[in-house]
Amino acid sequence: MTAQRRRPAAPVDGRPRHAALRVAALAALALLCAACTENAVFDLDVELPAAGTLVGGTAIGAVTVQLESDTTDFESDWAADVPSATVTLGATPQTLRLSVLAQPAQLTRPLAVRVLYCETLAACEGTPADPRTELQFVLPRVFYEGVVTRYRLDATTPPATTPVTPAEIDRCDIAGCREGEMATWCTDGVHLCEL
Amino acid sequence: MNRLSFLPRTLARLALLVAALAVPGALAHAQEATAPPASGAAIDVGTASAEARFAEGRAAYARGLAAADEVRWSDALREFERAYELARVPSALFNVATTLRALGRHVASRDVLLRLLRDHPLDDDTHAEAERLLREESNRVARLRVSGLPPLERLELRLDGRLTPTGTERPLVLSVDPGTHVLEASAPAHASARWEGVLADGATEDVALSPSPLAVTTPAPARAPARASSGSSAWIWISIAAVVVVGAGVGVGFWMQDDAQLDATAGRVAVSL
Repeated sequence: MTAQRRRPAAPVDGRPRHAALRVAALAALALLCAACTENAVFDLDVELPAAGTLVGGTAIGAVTVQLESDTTDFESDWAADVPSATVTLGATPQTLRLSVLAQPAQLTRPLAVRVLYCETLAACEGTPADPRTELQFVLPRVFYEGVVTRYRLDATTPPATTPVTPAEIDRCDIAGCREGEMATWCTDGVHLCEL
Repeated sequence: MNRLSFLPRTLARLALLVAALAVPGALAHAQEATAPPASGAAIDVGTASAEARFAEGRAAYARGLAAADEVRWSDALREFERAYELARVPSALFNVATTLRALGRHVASRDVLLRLLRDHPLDDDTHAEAERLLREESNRVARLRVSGLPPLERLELRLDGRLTPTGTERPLVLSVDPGTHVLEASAPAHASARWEGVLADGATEDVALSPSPLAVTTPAPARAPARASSGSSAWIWISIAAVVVVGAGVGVGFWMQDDAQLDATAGRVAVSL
């Protein structure tokens, strides 16, 4: 006597029985994808001088830091409504601690930073601002999806004249994706956040 | 820090104090620190426990001496602290203070000497020596006199990166070891104010720290596009039901997506590009 094995019955209409399950799984997958972190945060410390620092005989009393991801063109003034922070300088050097949020479309764009040094707060808040001098920086890559990166920008010394070309901050100097302090945040030329 | 000139005297002192720790009187002193027993049985258990702790304390003390002999001050400090924790003898606390001094931690050394003089009866010689060291250490401690701190609810003051109580007295006086220090005051929506400097032995520095309020410009965030639905006759209800189901799904999706997104780091000025 041979043992008989039962086969599972085939679907009557010939379609796979778990088509509904497949649809549900796809829907769940879609929801899971929706739950993925897509934005990025860049914590930027801007070290500022004490009030009274002289530029061409004028004492600096306020600073505006402007951020722009749509252009790296420093030839002309940026629009008045670009993201910015303005601060009155104090008796001692200060650190302006910014946390910059970027959306998915902005992640791979360079971040341009303008530090405007003004005589007074009103001069910095004017439209256009009336800076005595400024520092310009281009950070080619600071945002990585779902990651908080950080950098400390030294703006403690206002230049006597506005530089012709902006200073470029190496992307390997942008900290992130590892704890602690490191000499470089790249390995074999690849940023740790890209590994 | 002149560690070399300090070493012979410290070692001599340590040698004296290890002898003090070994004498029966010191053990009796250690036992005084335990709770008084209430019955005969408790006496045996309590004594055995105290003796075991004291023996362990003495071993830690010996390790501390060996470490000090090899100028391993951090190890010595750990062992002397352990010895004091277990045996509660003043000699261990005295050596904690002298080891802290060797490490250049004059604020902590001063505080330990104050505690030694306050909490332990000492013989005349040790008392005089502890007072002399206390004077020396107090003279080496530097001070930061901080003014300008605003009465902000979430004001944070960090000395060398460590959170420091801001108290209510102004100017706020902070005792610090001689050397380089960084003091930073920060508050939400304010630029943090920072001081960095070098303090000599016994120096007092006046520091004005006033975090400045910030004016922040951020473009208004783009709104999500509105959804629309339409239908006719019997399919209206089916369409409405479908829209409700899909809408709920999309809503859950958006909710989950919002929930999964990163927020600006707390304590910083948030800027959206």
